[in-house]
Amino acid sequence: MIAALARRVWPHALVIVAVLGVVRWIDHHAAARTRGEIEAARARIEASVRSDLRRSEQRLAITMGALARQVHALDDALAERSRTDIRPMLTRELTRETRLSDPALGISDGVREQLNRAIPPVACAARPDGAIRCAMPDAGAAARQ
Amino acid sequence: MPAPLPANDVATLALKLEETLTLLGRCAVRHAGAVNAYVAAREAAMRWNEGER
Repeated sequence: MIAALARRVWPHALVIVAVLGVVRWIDHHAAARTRGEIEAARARIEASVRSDLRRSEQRLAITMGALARQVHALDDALAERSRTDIRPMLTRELTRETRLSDPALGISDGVREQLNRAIPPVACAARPDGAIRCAMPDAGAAARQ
Repeated sequence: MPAPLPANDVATLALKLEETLTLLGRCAVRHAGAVNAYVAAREAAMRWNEGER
């Protein structure tokens, strides 16, 4: 009785097992393909972002370069104006009258000392990362003065 | 920083004033450059964040 039942059932069981095997193979194959597609999409997005980033950096570098050239040109022009125009003319005017060079007719020692104290006691130094760090060597003492 | 005043006479004072004024002008130009660079970098960062790449 059991043997007869088994003989009738086993072809069906075989078909079911075969169908399950095919389904599992399709599932595995699809999962592998999907993983590949996800990885390819990720790589495409990464390449696209990197390319956008390079372009953005280049645009910014061009802007910064233009700004730096503008600042250097103006800075140099101001230094040149002082050296070749303002200072020679001022020196000429100052030498017209001897009283202007007479220490006895100038400011007092106390005033000069206070003016010199007004020069800020700030020390600035370049850092390895390109930034500049400024500090007051003795901020407490400077505040007490 | 500028060097201290070496003497008391008006001529020295006037020359130091000229030096200080020139340095002030140059400092203003450099400050403007630093501010403009910051603004340009900030705008670039904002454009990037808004997806304008």
